Amino acid sequence: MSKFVERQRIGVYVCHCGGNISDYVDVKEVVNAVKDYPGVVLAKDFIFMCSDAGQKMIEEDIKKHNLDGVVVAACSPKLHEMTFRNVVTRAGLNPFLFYHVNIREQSSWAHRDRKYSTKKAISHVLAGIEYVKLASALEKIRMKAEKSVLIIGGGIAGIRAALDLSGMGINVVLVEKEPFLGGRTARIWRTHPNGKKGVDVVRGLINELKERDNVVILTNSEVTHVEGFVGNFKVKVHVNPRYVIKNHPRMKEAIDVCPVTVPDEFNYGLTTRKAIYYPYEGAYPELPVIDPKACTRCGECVKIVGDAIDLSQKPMDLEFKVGAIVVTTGFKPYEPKPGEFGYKEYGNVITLPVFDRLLDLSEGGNKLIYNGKEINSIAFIYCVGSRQIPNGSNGKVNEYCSRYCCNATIYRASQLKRKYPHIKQYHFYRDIRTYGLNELLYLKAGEEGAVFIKYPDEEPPKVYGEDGKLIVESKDVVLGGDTVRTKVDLVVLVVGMEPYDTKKISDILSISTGKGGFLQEAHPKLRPVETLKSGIYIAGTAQAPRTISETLISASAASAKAASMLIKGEIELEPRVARVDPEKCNLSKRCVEVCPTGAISFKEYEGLGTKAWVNEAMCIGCGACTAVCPTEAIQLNTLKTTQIKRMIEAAIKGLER
Amino acid sequence: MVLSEKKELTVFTYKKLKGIKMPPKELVEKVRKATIIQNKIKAAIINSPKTVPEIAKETGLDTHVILWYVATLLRYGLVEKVEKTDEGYWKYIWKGR
Amino acid sequence: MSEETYDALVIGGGIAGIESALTLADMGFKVLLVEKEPSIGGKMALLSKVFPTLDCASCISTPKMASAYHHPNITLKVYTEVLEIYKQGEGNFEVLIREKPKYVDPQACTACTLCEKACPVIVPDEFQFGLRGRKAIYIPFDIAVPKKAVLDIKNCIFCGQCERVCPTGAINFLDEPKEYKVKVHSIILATGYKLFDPLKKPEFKFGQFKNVITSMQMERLLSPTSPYEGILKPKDGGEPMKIAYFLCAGSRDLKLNYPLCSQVCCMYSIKQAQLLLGALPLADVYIFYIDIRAFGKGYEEFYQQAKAMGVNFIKGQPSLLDEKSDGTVVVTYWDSNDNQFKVDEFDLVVLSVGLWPNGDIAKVFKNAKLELDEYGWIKRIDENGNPVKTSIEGVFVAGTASGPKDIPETIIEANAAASQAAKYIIKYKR
Repeated sequence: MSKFVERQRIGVYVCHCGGNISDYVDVKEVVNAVKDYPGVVLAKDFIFMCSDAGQKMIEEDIKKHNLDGVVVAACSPKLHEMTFRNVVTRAGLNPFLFYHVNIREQSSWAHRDRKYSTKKAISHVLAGIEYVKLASALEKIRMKAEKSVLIIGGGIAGIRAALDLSGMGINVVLVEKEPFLGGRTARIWRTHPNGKKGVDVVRGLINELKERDNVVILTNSEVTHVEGFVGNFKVKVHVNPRYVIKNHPRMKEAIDVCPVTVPDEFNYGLTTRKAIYYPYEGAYPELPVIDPKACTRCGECVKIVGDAIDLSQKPMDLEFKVGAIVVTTGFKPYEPKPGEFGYKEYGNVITLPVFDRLLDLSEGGNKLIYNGKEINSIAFIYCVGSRQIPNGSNGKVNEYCSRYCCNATIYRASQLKRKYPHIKQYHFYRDIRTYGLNELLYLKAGEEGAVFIKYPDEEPPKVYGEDGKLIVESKDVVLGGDTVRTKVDLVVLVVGMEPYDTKKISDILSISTGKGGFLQEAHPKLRPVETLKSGIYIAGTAQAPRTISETLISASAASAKAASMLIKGEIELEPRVARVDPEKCNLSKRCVEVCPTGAISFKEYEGLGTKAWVNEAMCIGCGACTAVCPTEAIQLNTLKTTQIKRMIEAAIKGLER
Repeated sequence: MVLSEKKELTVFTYKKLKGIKMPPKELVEKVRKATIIQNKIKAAIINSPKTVPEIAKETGLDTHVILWYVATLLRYGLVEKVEKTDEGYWKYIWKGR
Repeated sequence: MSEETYDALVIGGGIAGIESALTLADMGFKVLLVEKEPSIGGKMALLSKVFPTLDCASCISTPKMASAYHHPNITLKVYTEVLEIYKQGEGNFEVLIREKPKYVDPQACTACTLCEKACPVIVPDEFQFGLRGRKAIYIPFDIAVPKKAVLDIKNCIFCGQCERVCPTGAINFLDEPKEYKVKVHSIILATGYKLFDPLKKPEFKFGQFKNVITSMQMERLLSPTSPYEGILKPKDGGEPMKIAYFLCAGSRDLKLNYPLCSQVCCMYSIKQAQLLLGALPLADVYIFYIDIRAFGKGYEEFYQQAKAMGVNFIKGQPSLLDEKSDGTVVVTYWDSNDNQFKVDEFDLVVLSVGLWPNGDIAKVFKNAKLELDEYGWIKRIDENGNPVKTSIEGVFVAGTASGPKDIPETIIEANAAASQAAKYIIKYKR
């Protein structure tokens, strides 16, 4: 190892962040406090260091003043560390001789006392300077990346992503928990804007998918374990048996002969199905499935189709490698609590998804019948399970708006009007959020005679029974708060979206969820479909409530990001890894014991004998080994023990000023 | 970089090429009016800082016209903010030549 | 001049176009990014902070602008228009491009601002929405990319001052427009929107009552590069204490024959209200609305936060009555809570102007038809299959060109368009 020389020509740049920093940190004082600090050649401030003008200034300074290190004190490194690394690289300096000090989240946004936050900023900048003094020029680690992507969730988001990625020449494994693709969209009666049925939307996408030869579809399957990192994820998938292993010309008979009938979950129990079934005409894969919980193993079906059915089929566990992962696990509709707006209390109070199935199943006739009675009037109650107001006693509530519901319900209103012109509609809402072009739906529904009643935020309507009918009673804000009572045959609760099992998937993938339990993006604008874990992307309603087209768009976006990472078949990793100085290693083996990824082993060093050695591809840079090494022989490339000590000393000095 | 002294300014070549003798009359008139306003503002605040309503009083110009010019002059560094009055008005002073 | 070939042409250098270009370029495709204004950045570069995180807009847009400018796979042309596009088969478009003369050599210009200072002509600054003036030769705005001067020849009096003071001899009156053809394999339309022009609705008294401003003007006032260096009443330069927002100005308006909702006005008004309460702690803010449409991720919570901060939300459509001599605006409105008409006075009225279509791009397609919807937004032809597809195969749409959209959605859609363009290029590039 060559003799290390400390950096002596450091440039320090302090950003105003257009007031975000300068309102609470005296940036001029920060500049003055560090400009004569040993090793610092120049210190400057600027309104937006990340702007092109700011970048250009740094670039020119590096060249003109022959800087050998750069400190930028600005926002969070999450936001712009990469930006400034690129600037430094453009000027011909190694990007790891740059350090990003966060004086926004940690100083100006954290404290209201300008004097203190300025002092803290100075202290952090001094620590940053000490870091750079001892920093080493490093090269990124280049590694081969698997040109394949795992997509978790086979709803429309997952299918769209599979189409896009495979179209860009990337292999795809699409894993769906249910026995069929299509997710919630397949259950929609008619979709905005052209009245296409949900199943047809799904079918359109699947027809395209069938033509792809680089997509593997695993239905009835769940991802159970993921390890590794971007470019090289190791994935385990548990595949449940389908029992139907190939098609047969008499398959329909085999289904008909099944003696078991159970409620059909596809139709929320409005109909029944057999133990061997398809959820709907044209479902994909085009193979029925046997529901093992319902099946009595009577063997009637086997008598008809023979070896097309194998009731002894066992589950499988698959293991494979992928370069990136797209999570599209979708949503589930909010399930109202018993008694909420009369739910489960009165038979004719149902949720919007159930209503959708009812409409779809009633396509044939011109009467809408529920529970054996004709429906001539319907009340829709909006914001059920959305925009809930916490009052201290109602437990966990959904404070968010579910976005799709106003549009979906009002589109239903018009479609309903077309099919059943005699049905009277009353819409009890808080705000009608038919945003953007969807406003036309609202206008149309109003023109067609749907009645809209705005209820107060804090005072939702009451639902109760009277003479065999349902009464919805509510204040009407637009009428100055007068109470309106409406007698109806059916109450439809417009329920919001809730994330579907995001807890489980976020644990498996070590990604985070945000408020409301939806998967959290790295940044809503800078990195809207990425997670904080490199190589893992999110799309669709697992991330936030969305409409169909918004879901598809986000899936395409996630595909673009995953593709741009993998398309070259090679990725660059941060050189944040541990390295061993074999001369210092005394073979304590403690590093091997604490390493969580098994990256440390031993090898022969020329003239030194056997010493510890780090496999850089496996090292995650956690630093556990550096803490236990008795001789400080193992060190993180990007954060040496000496650096930490010097940074702490400088930071304390800064605070004592 | 030193420009060649002999080389004719391209603006003159352009005017010759396009046959422009004088710029459009309305434009010249606009520039003349604007110059008068700027000079009035300058006279009002060259020695002591004043608020927009105070400048208006002194120059007889509309307050919104003053503010528009003051904002423009701020951009080019010819005017600076000094302090805010209790009524929420900034005082401005002339900084240019 | 031999024809240059690019994998993708991205029309429009706002945040959508920048994002599409960057994603394609990161995949290794060669991109031509064309912007008609002298700087990229579009509307977003001129915003203050963005909802619901209150990040500064510049913190997000400027680094992306710089990346697009420096990316080895992106060729950036500002002050440039696309005149004609001919589709000559799948994966093959011929594009006629016109670079407007800047009269300033961008290679030589150092943005020292000496020319600006020397120029005697002052005209309204379009990048500050008329709140102050700029010179006939000017740098578009502080964080412009590229940051170079450009001469507005229509307002030039040919005095030659700029040319005399320029230290690098960058001024060149003999600059000519350049027209040339390029070949591209795919196209992304990121042409954005137009702000509703409040002069279309005389009852708003915009321009007449000086203290009636647009929300975009308020964005400028709230930004760190505020033209007034603060939030002041345009009428007389004082700080406003009572501010009213009129939502749906130029949206959901049947009289204007424009019934669409602009999707972002509720949220940006709520954001501005929060910023105003931060900047002017004694101020009162009133928001007049029809429906509050806080539908995106974290938006409803942001709305509730504004209510908790003391922003007054009033359901009702107000109208302007009168202007007092000190510029105070008298407003009358129906208060549905109290079931009666009320009259109130405000120091400042902000019109939350809507997003209107910018469908001009349709006419550059000479031998294929780019379909627009009945209001002029670029039509998505496969809404529930592949939403970024337009009526022309190989031409994709990103951001507000296909309808009002907030920034996160715009950026997501820009990436979606990039992914569709990438697939198309791979399929048809020969």
